[in-house]
Amino acid sequence: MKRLLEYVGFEPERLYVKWISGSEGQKFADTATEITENIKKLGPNKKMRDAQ
Amino acid sequence: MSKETELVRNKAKELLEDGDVELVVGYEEGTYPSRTTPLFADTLEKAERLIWNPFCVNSLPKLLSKGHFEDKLAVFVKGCDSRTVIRLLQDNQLDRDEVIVLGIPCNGNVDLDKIKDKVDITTIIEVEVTNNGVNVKTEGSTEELSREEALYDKCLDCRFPNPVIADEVIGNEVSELPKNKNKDDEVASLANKSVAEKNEFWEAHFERCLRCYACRNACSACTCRDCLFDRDERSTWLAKGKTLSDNEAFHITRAFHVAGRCVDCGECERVCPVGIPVQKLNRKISLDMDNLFGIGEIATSEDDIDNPPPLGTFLTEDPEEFM
Repeated sequence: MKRLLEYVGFEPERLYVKWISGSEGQKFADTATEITENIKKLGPNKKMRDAQ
Repeated sequence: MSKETELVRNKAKELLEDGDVELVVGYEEGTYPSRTTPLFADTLEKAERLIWNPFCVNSLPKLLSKGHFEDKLAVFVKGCDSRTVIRLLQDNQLDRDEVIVLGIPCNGNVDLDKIKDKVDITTIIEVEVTNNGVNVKTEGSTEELSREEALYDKCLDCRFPNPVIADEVIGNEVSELPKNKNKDDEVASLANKSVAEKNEFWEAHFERCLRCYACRNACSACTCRDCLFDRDERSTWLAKGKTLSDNEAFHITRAFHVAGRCVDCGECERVCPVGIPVQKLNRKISLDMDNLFGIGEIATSEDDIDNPPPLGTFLTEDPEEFM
């Protein structure tokens, strides 16, 4: 799915698929922080936003 | 009457006469000789109308998917259509015992849209497709065209000119066809473009989508009786609205729903009235599927019916890129 979305023109840095178990609190927090930082660098997504 | 037409008619009449089948599904002449339309022949008189020529392009097996027919029937298939038969058998949309598959090797189908500027398509009498080119005979003259000039794009990269499943093959087997185009290279070069370029390419195409669902209706892997895109507009986040992002959501979703099951018949792209390169989406996924699961080309023989599609099964050795 990630590959397909990249193919139709989404930025790869916006797309994450990660397996995190319920017991891995730190991994969850780290991942969320990492995603947020990367997305902030990219700015708002323009793709598929024309309906709003 | 061409040799193939004669063979097709004789075979159909033989099956109907012997009571082997109740219905033979083939093609008949449309508005003029260069147009064809599916024919459901249940009598010998109707079987006399059957034809076979390079204009017989519609894939017929999809018309037979579950719930449409009770009778035992026979269907004429080209190489690409025969892979549709495998798809339908694997998806439990056809019973192998209920259908007689009559395969006809094919050199390529002629695209009327491509040749209409070069010849008057209403006066075409006969067309011959060979490995070297296409000879179009009209009432006044004979035109010699190249394969690229006259055939459907999907035929220029055909790897299955001969039926991969058939109870009987009618006509001579076709040896390897020339490769006038490489779809996989086109997909790879698009995938290597920048994010902005890819976005621009697809938005320009998706913007023109009419949401006519011809691609879905022609697709051999799209056999849901209740398609999620047919639901009430307000009841779901997958809206039927014809905006760019809704169109985009439709195409991405549809492509992923047929992931690992697409037989690369190219019907979706052929039937699109606005020329969206739908096959470039599906082919990308097929290549990814091969890359991830090593499935190679699917639906290439009757044995493939027992191989479950990669996204419909779980193996411990499946790749786990998300771990």
